[in-house]
Amino acid sequence: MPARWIVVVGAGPAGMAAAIEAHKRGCRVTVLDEAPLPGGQIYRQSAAAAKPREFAEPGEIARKKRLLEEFAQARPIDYRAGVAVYAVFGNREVHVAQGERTEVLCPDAVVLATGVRENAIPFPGWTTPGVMYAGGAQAILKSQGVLPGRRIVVAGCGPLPMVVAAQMLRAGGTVEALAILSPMSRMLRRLTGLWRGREILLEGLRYLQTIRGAGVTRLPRHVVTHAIGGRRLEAVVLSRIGRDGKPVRGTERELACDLLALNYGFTANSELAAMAGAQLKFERTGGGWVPAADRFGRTSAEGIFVAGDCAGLRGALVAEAEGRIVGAAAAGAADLEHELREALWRRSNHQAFQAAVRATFDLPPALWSIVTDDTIVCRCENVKFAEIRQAFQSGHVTPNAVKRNARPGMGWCAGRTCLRAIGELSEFCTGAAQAETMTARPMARPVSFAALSNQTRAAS
Amino acid sequence: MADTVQFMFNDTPIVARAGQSVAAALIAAGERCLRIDEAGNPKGALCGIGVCWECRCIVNGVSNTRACMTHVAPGMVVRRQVGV
Amino acid sequence: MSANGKKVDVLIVGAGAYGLSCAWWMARKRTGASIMVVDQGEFASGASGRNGAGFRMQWGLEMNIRLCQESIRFFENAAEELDYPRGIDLKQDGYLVLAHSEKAYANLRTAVATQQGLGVPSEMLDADECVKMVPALGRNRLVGGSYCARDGSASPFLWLDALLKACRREKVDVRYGTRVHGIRKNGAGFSAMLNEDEIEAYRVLLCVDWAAPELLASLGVELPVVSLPKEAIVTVPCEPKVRPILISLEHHISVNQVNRGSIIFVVSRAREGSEVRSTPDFLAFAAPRVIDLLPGVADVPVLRTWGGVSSLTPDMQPILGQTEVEGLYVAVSSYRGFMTSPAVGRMMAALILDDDTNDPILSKLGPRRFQTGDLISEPLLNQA
Repeated sequence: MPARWIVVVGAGPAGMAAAIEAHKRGCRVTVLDEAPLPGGQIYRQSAAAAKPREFAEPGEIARKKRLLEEFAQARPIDYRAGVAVYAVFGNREVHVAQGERTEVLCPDAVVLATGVRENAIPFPGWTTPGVMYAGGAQAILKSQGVLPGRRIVVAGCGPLPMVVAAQMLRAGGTVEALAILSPMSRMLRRLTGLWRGREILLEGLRYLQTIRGAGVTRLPRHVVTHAIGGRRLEAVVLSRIGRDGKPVRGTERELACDLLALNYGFTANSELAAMAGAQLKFERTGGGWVPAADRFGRTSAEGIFVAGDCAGLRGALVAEAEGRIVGAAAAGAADLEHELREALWRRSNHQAFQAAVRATFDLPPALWSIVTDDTIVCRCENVKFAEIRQAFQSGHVTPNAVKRNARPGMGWCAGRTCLRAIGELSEFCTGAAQAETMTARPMARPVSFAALSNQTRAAS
Repeated sequence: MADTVQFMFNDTPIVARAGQSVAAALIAAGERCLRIDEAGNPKGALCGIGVCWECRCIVNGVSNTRACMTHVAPGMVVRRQVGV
Repeated sequence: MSANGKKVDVLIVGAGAYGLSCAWWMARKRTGASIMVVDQGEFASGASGRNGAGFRMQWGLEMNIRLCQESIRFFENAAEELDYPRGIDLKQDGYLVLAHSEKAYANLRTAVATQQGLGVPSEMLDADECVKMVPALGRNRLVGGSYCARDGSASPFLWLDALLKACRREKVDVRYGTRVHGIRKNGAGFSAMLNEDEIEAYRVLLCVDWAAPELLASLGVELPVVSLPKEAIVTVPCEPKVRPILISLEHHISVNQVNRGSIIFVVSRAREGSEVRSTPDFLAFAAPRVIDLLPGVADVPVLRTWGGVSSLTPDMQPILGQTEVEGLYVAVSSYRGFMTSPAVGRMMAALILDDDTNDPILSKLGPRRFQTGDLISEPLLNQA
């Protein structure tokens, strides 16, 4: 009997761990990833000949090194870098593009470990070059060794803005202000979680020390309401948030800067799972619409598994533990409870901490009032909020209906940048909970006709 | 020096480190605007990881190339994409 | 809002282009008739929101030419007629029907003669002229085509939105997410089960295309309509490559580059079912055919694909009229609901509210033709 074939999409902590475990169990394993090197976003590696300095905490650097080494030693794994998975179907077909050709893989099981992307709340001027997601700015620093700005404002919620501000400082940048929307003290309500996550928490405290030591202006409960500039960012306007969640008039302050690093939480990259027919569920602070899965990563679509952040925000430690669990399950391991006892325990341990972290992503709905009528919401198709609001008023409230009516989500990024905002804005404007998300269809990435007609198939 | 690369951006020579992305090399050189969209809005890198397609520019004549996902190469010609 | 026990004069099932157009034409007669439109999906979620967006007067039969002449005149004035200032993104950049065999070319020549006789400004082009008009075209087997500058496209979403708003202004009760579970005869009228509610309707018009036979079965009416799945491809916005809309009868592909710059390809292939999801092998099927037809787009990235379902009748012509059950009407588009909806709405409104049975086109398109054998033969058929 030929070995069971597992295709893993994504080479972050969850994808690497899943591949390692499936490989250990004698499976033939293929890993598909868009980046030039394994690691995903959190364990991103530099492709530069001279490796840039690391600005992360030693604990994180050690975890990254250990997992990357384990992945490199698991041989043979058919690891393909720089490829784009543009569709996954319910029959477990994985369609992948590489340069001017495409290939259809027909494995026995598919593990989707596609991670998360960052969220923003759109505001006037946010399309100005120099406004970046905090994680995006961090990626430029981490993998390219380039400080993405000299005078930096960092804003948003959750732990990432703090981490990014500290790393920018360590790299020699000037952080003009750190504006955090929801107080980190919310985590204090979940003491068990904090205790279990003490290792990560200590790393967080050391980042905080860096920020304190540099005397950075901290603006709790502040939000960026405007970005000013033409071909480059010149300044941002921040306002304090009142008890009602809206910016308080008269509290505006303008800060000169050339980089605004923003993070308002994360959205799960669940499009491929949805395309394959997996049912989704909504978790506001955990990635939006995420695939529903059992504790072994099995979705409602036969043979389609999910692991890590793409199944709901979990953080790198949970993702790695979960990748091991799901990789073994996809490999068909017989006695999962027993065999995976250690990984299951580790996952639940870290999950308690993640629950505490999630509380810091809970934002007041009225914050969405910073989106003005002339704010561009869909950057690909230049759809302003006024057009979206008119669609809501005409009764087109679901993302699918708004898309048909006003075009948001029809552009290059396939809705990955604006979809979350459309759902939240719909809820904010109409008061009705989001009942569904945009239908996921091929293509998850654009691919030329030439590449699509130059296609081969590989079955197990 | 083997680990530096020279490429062109809109007729200006830029020196970058080998293995850097076009987006990072241009940011290091102080250039943030990679595209002017059809409505005239200047655009630069937003997500930095290939998701948003905002940093697409023209690389060696190929339009719509993501600057954040493309490594610099010696003699590469990068142009700001205008109008699409 | 519950509809239980409600009585309406006309219940229209299906809020696509046919359903909404029929409702609007009825409402604007201001006869006082109450009109309700129900749709099981959401706005524009059916075939009317998933088509290639093109319209053309280039048909072979006088009947089809006239239907589209009237409809296109309406599209041209839609902003004013429907009080929709934004307009429906009307684009009249012409429509090129391609022939890849001598026989197909001869058919086009005959059709153009008929069209010109009815005042359609169409003309014949040879292969060189076609390639001059669309340099991205391939020459493989290309013989020539017919061209009409007044044909073009509009946005189906905006068309439906304009109709919906106009209907609601005229007090038509349009309800989405409302499924009709069954219809039965009740005295002089009908009872219809909608979700949890039962309502009474004096007359019922089914505008649900391929789903009509299922609803008609309980009333003992048979209608020979099947579903025809189609899939579409849209590319990223690119520079103008295809000014007129193209259709290739041989490739079963229609091509429309919209104002935004994206190129839409609608591709048909023989397959059954009513699955609107994209199928796994579709892109590998479609891509080589697209390149054969238009080598100039080979390097253009595909942005999205989607599936749709249209209706197909035995003679591939619409079925419009009263069934053998008095007061029960059908309007089945046979895959051109969008482009014929303005004229069909007017004709059906006259038939249902004024009992006007003298329309020469409607009299040919009634459901009875399948019993009498008076099928229609349209030479310029395509499945895309």
